[in-house]
Order: sequence, then structure tokens, then C-alpha cells
Amino acid sequence: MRYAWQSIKPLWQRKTGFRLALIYLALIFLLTLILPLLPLPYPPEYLDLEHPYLAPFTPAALESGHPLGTDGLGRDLLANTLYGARTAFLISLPVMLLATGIGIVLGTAAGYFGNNGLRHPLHRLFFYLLAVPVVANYGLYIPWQVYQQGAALSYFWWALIILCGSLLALWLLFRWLGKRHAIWSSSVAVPVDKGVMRLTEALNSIPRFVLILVLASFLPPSLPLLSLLLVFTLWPGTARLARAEMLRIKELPYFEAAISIGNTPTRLLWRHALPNLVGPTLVAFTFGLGGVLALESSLSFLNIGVPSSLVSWGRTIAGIRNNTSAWWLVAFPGGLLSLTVLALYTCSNYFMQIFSSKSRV
Amino acid sequence: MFPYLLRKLLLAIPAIWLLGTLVFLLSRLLPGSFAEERLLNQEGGFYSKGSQSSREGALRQYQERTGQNLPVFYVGLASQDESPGISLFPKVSWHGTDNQYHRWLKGIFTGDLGTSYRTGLPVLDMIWKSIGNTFWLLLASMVVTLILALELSILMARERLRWLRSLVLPILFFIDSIPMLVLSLLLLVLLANPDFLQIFPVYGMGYFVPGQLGFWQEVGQRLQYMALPHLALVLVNLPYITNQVYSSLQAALQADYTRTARAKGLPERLVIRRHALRNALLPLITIVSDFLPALVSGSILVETIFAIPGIGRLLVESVLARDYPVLVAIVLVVLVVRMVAYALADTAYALADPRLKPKLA
Repeated sequence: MRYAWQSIKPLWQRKTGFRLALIYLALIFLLTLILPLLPLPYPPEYLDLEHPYLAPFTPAALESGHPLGTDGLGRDLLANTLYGARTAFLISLPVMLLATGIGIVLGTAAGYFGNNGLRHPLHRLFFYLLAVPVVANYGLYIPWQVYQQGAALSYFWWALIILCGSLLALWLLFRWLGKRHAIWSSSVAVPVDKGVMRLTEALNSIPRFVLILVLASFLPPSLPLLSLLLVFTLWPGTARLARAEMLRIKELPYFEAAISIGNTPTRLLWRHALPNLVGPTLVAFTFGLGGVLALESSLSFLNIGVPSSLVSWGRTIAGIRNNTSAWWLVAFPGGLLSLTVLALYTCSNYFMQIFSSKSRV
Repeated sequence: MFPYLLRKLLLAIPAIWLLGTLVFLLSRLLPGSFAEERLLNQEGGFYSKGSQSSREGALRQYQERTGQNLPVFYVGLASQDESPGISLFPKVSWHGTDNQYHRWLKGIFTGDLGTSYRTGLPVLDMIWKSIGNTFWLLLASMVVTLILALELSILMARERLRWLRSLVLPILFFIDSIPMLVLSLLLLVLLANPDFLQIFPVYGMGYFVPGQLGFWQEVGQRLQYMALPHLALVLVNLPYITNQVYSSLQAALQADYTRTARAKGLPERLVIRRHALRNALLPLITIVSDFLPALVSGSILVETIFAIPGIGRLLVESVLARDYPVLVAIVLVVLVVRMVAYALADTAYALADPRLKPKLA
């Protein structure tokens, strides 16, 4: 982390574009945080039905307290644009953080272990394999059913008892097998790399937007589900990057030295590999954040996957479909969206310049 | 070459089958369906005149007609409606071959992808009707984008035109950060709006009967309506492709053979066109083949905004209506297009690069 910080500091001091972009991002983020405290003339959902399609900056607009005009139902554009920024950050930041986290974990694991690095005895692998459906049924499905149907709590306790009992029985069985037969205790390599790569390929074989649209149609429109869906489709990008970087780092002399003095894998990854991964990940994160912002507004423009009561840039922009001459419905939320994406891309571009030039040495 | 291609295609079939099966099962397993939403809806709608029981009867009749009353897969875990309580032990039941998945798979082999829930038409007909518009839109925009990108990069690579580079690259960066949604709506507002400039017709593909007009008249008519969507697609894709072409051209200009060509005394125009560009075109094949399926998703927003009856619009409408047969079929089409694109790219590589021929044989 200190390394990344040290490379960003001169960038901040020297490049005006980077400074401007960062200041803009900080300001808009601060604005979204303190937005509920600001004294706006109208809340975003207030329908001022007497003033539909008010053009911005006209005397009528200024008089009625809608400086940026209103949409077809008289919703204040200023409030909608600002709250739209809040929604956009509220969705895209956690989604991108989670996707990056999952991507880093799976990608570094794939790069570090490869196809032969992770070895386990066969009996333990079989135990894990059989334990997963058991835990899924008794640990997750039945408690969820109990919660859904409001059934008696005894079902839950019974499920817990069966879960523990069957896990114990499985463990004892396979331990016994492992001691009795040599085949069961032979160690088998887990192809982590292959597994992760096949998974990313499968997810990448359908274009992301199509995948999101199709999967969103299977689910009821809700924000948490949509966020999970976005995470599910976004993690392969980071995973591929982290894997490639990990493969590069693994060959570096310092890493070899760290292995040779007997560091544990956890310490190797955490202390020696991750700090070197920060730079490329930061590039991908800022770039991806811009993409998610655009994706979120596209989805809410199409009204897919989001509840239609969600205040967002996309919904405001969608108002233009009913009245093409209401240019302000596109110009203000779209302008803010483009500006934010531009700032993010600028940051990503500068990060790429410093980190790619340093990592090559 | 041919056996290599055949092997690739044969390997692609299981992947398509697996992904298609996954999407199909997901679409049927998750709760809520088109019919339930339409027929059981309490408020409004045609069917709400009847009582609750008649609505349920209509739903059952509809499900029987479309085969949705059958079990989803060969094997099923005990379903909830048979036993209202919670069972601690999962009941596995065997449904035989009379299930939805079996019918669907059998239909695919006989060229029948089912009927749409929304329109009642065969899915294949609907896709066939809309794929032409998307295809021409994408092909034309891709060709224009490629030509523009090539010419721009060639111009920018010349020593005397340095100023052009410092002008074009920032502009492209700026265009790149405007999301597609905002860009196409801005074009619509600026160029097809009576309040600003009414240069292009706004929506759709024009009204005419295909047989009535002469060939050139029809082309003219189409061009008028396609101009704005084309412009949007070209502008959205141009920055990325130009950047890729330019960087690969830059790399080719650093190579030894370019130095030799310069030393030979060739004029710069010929050095770039004849020696550098040919080698720089190789990575372009990958970019284009990666772009073909991505274009399908890229055209979703453009088709929705400009009301072009293509695949993207069909997808959005089907998602909004939860028309699963169409969705699954579109996913299959996209997968097949992707595989074909990869096969084409491999062939193009083998044709363009003689070094690869022995490797592929």
C-alpha cells in the first residue's frame, strides 16, 4: 500500500489533469454523502403536476423553484440529478469493490497454485465434495424455508442436528477409508487454475450486457439482487488481471527468495504478492467503476432489473422518450454521468502510465 | 487447417449445449412467469373480469397448452406444492422423458426453438425477421469504424502530422467517456429534433412495402433511417479500435524491418502502408472477432433508442415481458455467432500469417 501511495503522490503534484479529476471525484462523492442534509427546494419524488416539462433557466422555472426544469410529471430535475448521483455511487462502489475482491482472491489463487500447486489427499477431497450439498441443504435451504414459511423452530434445530451428525459421519468414514486403503490417501492436485479459467471463459462467452439482461429477467426487480448479478458478471475481468500479474510476480527473484526462506503461502500472498498487485488492480478498478456507472444508468433507462421507484440518472433520461424536445432531461444527468466517467477514466489512464512503467522494470 | 477448424467446432458444441442448458434451467426454475404475471394479476388487464378461480383455470389451461405444467428436468427434488410442510430429507423423483427440458432439446434438433409466450409466433421466425436489421446495422458500422480507425492511425503515425495526434487522441478519449446511452440520445436530440437541427428522421425504419420500391429507392430509404444509429455505433466503437490499431502500428514502426525499409530510402507513406501496416493488421483480427458478439450487445441500446426492429430490441422487449423461449434462443444465437466469429478469426489468421500455417495443420 505504501508503494502505491508513493507512486500516486508525485502524480498528484505534477499532473494537473489528475488533480482536477481527483478533486472532482472527491467533491461529487462528498456531495452524495451529505445530500440528505442539503436544503433542496423539492425532494426527488415530489410530483409538481402544475409544472410539467419546464425548460431550465426560464423565468417560469426559476420562479417555481425548479432551476434545472422538470420532467413530464413535474419532478424537479436538480434533485433528481443529484440523487441520481447518490444512487449511482451507492450501487457501483459496493459492486465494484466486491467484484474486485472476489476477482483478486480467485485470480491470485489461480496464478499462485496453478494446476499442481494445491494438493490434498483424495479422501479429504471427497469429503469436501460431499459436504457441499449437505451444507447447502441443511445449512442454507432448510433454514431459509423455515424463515420463509414461518414454520416451527424445531425444524431448524433438527436440520442443524442432522447437518452436524452427517458431517461428522462423513468425516469419520473418509478418515477411516484413508487409513485403510492407499488409494484414498494418495494426494491429488486440484486444478485451481483450470477451474477458474474455464469459469471466466464461460462467463465471457456471452456478452456481459446480454447476460445481465437475460439473468435480470429471471429475477424480481430489486437492488440487492441486481448488485449481486453485476458482481457475478464483473469479477472475471479482475480475476484474469490478478492471475496474469500473479504469474508475473511468481517469477520475480524477490518472490523466489521469499519462498526459499520458508514463508507460509498465506504470508507469501498477503505480504509479498498483494502489495505488487495494488497498482494494476487500481487501474482496473477505476476503469471498471466508470463502466458500472454507465451500466447502471443503461439498465435503469431500460427499466430492467431495478424497481421503477428508484431515483436514478437512467430513469430521468428515459423521460426523453415521451418528449424529444425536452433536451434538458438528457443534458444534465447525462452530462454529469459523462463527466464522472471522464474523471474516472482520466484517473485510470494516469494510474496506468505510472504502474505499467514501473512494473516493467 | 480444416481438421483444426473441425476440432474447434466440435469442441464448441458441448460448451454451447452446457451454457444453453444452464440458461434454460435457470429460466424455468426461478419463480414467477409470464403467464402468472398476466393471468393472475388482480388489477387491470383483460383477464381480471373473471373471478380468482377462473383466472387460475385460465392459467392452468395456458400452461397445459404450452407444456409448462410438465416437470422441468428428468430428475427433480420434491416440489413444494405437493407437500406444504418442510421435509427434512430431500425426496428425489424421476420424471422420465416427458419433461420441458427434453422437449426443448428435441425441438432444437428438429429446428424448432419453441413459441414465444408474448406473441405466440415461432421463436425462430421472430429471430429470423429481426436478425437482418441488426446484421446490416452492425456490419456497416463495423466497416466504417475499421476504415476510419485505419486511416486515422496511418495519418497519426506520420512524423509530420504530430499535431494531429495531440488533437485526435484527447478527442477520442473524451468521446470514449460518454456512455453509449447519453451519446445516442444526444445525437437524437441534436440532429433529429425540430427544435435544433432536423437532418435525420427520428425513429424506426420508415414505412414502405418491401416489394413496391426499386432497389436503389429502398437502399436510399434505409440509409436515411439508418444514418443516425450508424453514427452512434461508429462514434462509440471508434476510440477503442483506433487506440488498438494505433498502438499496434506504433509497435510495428519500432521493428527492425521498418528500419530497413527506411534505410532503403522508401518514402514514409510507403513504409507505413506497405511494411508496417501489414504487420500491424494481425492483432486487428482478434479485436474484430472479439468485437462481433460484443456488437450484438452494443446494438441493444441503439436499437431501443432508435426503434429499430432488431435482435437487441427483441431482447429488451422479451426481458420486459419475461418471454423465456425467446431469451434462451437469443442466448443460443449469440453463442453460435461467437463460435463462428472465432472460427473465422482462426481462418483469417492462417490466411494472413504464413508462419501460423504449419502450427494449425
